[in-house]
Amino acid sequence: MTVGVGILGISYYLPQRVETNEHLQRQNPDWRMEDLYEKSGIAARHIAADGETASDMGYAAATRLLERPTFTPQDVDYLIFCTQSPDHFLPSGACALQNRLGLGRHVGALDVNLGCSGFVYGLQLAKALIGVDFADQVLVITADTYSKYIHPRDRTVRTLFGDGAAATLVGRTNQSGIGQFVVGTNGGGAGDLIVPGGGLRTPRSAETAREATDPAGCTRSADNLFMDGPAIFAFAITTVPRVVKTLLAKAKWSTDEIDRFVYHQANQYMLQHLAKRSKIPPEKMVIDVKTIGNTVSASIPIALQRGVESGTIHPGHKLLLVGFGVGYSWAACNVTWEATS
Amino acid sequence: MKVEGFLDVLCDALGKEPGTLTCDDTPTTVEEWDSVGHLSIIASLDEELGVPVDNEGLRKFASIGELVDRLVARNALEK
Repeated sequence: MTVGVGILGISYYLPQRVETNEHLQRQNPDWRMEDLYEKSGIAARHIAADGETASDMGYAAATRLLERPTFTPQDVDYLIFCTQSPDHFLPSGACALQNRLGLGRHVGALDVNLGCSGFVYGLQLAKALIGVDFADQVLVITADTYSKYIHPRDRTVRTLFGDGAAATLVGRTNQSGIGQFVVGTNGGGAGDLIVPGGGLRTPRSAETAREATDPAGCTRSADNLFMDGPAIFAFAITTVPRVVKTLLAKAKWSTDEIDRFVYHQANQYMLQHLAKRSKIPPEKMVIDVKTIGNTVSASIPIALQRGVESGTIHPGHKLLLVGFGVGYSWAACNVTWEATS
Repeated sequence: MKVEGFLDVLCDALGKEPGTLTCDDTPTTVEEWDSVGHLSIIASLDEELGVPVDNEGLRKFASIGELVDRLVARNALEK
């Protein structure tokens, strides 16, 4: 008898091309890469090839998942594709992926435009759809190629973000699986992490393509990704501990009984500070950024799967997941891990 | 906390010897005060003084003196 909704399996995909700190140092002799590494904990990131998009990467991750003998593509009846680097304004990437993955025509498919909070939002939507019997198995694909928005001379973002994709299958399980959620939004922070140009508000033009260098020596145009690092950091360290406290109360879990805290993998410095603020023992805070950087909406499922593969996450483990960032948007949930594949 | 003590907290945040910063210092005069150093300062406000750093005035400051004045005005520091 099934009693809950849980994560049945996760696969991920990282593009082949790797950009190391040594590469960046050679290209930008004025960047203090060693100091940056000491704080961010990031030594390399995977970068999508020219012409390789988030939907290509999502397809690769989902194919790896659905090829497992325990899963059948025809059992998937809902597809949620979370990305902020879509192939087109329209149609939605989820529709293209339904066709490309060979999923049935009975499948519901939609895109979610969220970044670092997107995976936990995907789990919430999946749990809700299954909970009201609108679906039995939901495939949540999270994929981003922020590298395509980044100016090569913008140190604040180029050193942090990597490209990546994950596919997560959510379905009915024998255990409690995915538990409670806390979500939130503060659109007042929209301008702190943004690609200002290229949408319909400010279409691409010669003006949006005009590059400027800020006082810190970072160059970008309005067509590039802009991040106000101090603002995002301040948002995270004030919001996340509160969200975690609220979720723990809702789930009736204590900090002590949680085995692993799997937060959005922003960077090592942020995660260490958040651990300290919520009195989380360092060994329970999952930090997996060294070789892949911050992979936006794919960062939590990639950290989960790599935790399983490295033996740090086991069936029965109590996990706390928190996504936070662009929007501002945040979402947290508690999960009893049971995926075995 | 007194201003002198806070200057040493900032020295620690920026990886400098105690007593090496003054209120006149800016990112231009302190090599360690880059974007990551700025995050360390914000973290120290959160950790050591417990002030809410989501306030823009406590994230954007051009000199240590400017930050100190704002903290004193909020009664988070004693002059």
